Amino acid sequence: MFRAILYTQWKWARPVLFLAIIAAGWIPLEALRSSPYKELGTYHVPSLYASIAAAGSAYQYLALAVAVVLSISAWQADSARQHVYALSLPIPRWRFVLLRFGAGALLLGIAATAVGLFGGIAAALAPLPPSLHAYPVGLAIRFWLGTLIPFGLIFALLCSSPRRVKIVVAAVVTVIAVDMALAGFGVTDGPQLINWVLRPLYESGSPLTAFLSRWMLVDV
Amino acid sequence: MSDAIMLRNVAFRFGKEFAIRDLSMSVPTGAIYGFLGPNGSGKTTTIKLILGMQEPEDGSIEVLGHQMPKAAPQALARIGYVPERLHLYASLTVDEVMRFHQAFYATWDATRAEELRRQFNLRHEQLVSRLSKGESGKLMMLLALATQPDLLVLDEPTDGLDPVVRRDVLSALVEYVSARNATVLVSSHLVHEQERICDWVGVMDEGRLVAEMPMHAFRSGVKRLRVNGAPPVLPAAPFTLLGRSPVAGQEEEWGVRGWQPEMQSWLEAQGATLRETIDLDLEESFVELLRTSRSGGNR
Repeated sequence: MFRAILYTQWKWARPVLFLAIIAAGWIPLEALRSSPYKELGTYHVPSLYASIAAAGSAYQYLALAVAVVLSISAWQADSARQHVYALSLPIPRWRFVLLRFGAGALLLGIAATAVGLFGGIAAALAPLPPSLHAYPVGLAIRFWLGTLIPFGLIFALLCSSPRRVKIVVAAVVTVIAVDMALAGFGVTDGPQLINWVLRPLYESGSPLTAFLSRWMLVDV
Repeated sequence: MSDAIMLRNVAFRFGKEFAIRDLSMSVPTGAIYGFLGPNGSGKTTTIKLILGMQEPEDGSIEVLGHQMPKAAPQALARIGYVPERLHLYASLTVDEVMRFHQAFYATWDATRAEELRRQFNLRHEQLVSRLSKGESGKLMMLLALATQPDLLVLDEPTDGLDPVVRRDVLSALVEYVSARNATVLVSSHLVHEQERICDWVGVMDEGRLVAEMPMHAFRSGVKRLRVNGAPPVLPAAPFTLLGRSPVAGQEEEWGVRGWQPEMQSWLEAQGATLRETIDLDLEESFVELLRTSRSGGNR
């Protein structure tokens, strides 16, 4: 059963996964390539550090993009037919949802593995200064956990009824519209309402804090 | 004979509007039950309730001995379902859909599935999104039959299909049912098609079941009478008066069920004369039932 569900999600998500794997290979290589060598054949530490920190942001965007696309693709085919097929199968709904989530988590693991693997290869090929060390496994785990959070949030929203999805989307659009209107009329200085809504998601201990910390392939 | 499907006083609403109100119906085990009704009468909603896809507001639903929707997985394992519209994943091929479906059914008959695939001229590598309406209908029927179900629930399975495909689908269905003695609930607004294959019939209109009886009773039970000189108010009749409408002068046309020629004496006792008895075919009976149920039922 899990294999059947995994196969469908693999089929729907594989173009994105291929792109993610290419990006996972390109990000560390580009970070190291753009960092200048010192004369002795090792990296200039501050510029390498800055370059790796920039690559960390690229990993975050990659994680977010992969998570969003995979969560949408997990339910798109079911949503298009009002979930009739899934509901007609002889399996409890919660179990079907769990299997879909498990398949998605496994596919995100492929992207995370690529991040760790290419990060490890790039770090092994680069003559790092003695004060710096590569953490490809740690980065891969952080990437995987980081993708699971937005994946889980969007997944939960999309496996719900179309009515609930519409309510949530309408609420988000309303908040943005009101915020823009308040800023436009000079009532506020900027996007206060959005910050107020999103702040709890980023505060310490909340689910999206993983995206605020630095995702470093190479660190002290 | 026990009932494969039993609904008792079921109510269901979309928002504030009742889609189904006080619905009770019984589908006997082994019957081919034709579920008739015009478009929008509540047939598909009732089917979704039977399959546990919707939860009733009130009443109880039992399918193959399982309470729905609580025990839906257990019941669905023994049900083959063909919905009104294609419900399968469009980006999969025929072969992939068959393998996906198989993974959920312990009773999947791979040999039979392959036979049906060849019989229906479906190619392994055909994408579901590229299938014609007829091919989609055949694929859904294949999936339903290959699970060897005890109950088949078919929602307008031949709607929009050309006569050749319709014949293929119906013959596969009849062949399966005669071999397995399975129960079939088949909804349609195509009255003549139901007449050919069904032995029970239920007629649904505006969220209510307006008639439920064996097909032979339905076929011979509804007649139109031309009656002259009947009083406006009648005592209890030995037949069911579905409706009456004036024709000309004192002459009226009555829709009746359960009419027997010897009941003419009852009419005469009321001071009325029977001018003509008109036998209705199934479609006319269906229309008569709907017309009378909408104008207030028995009077």
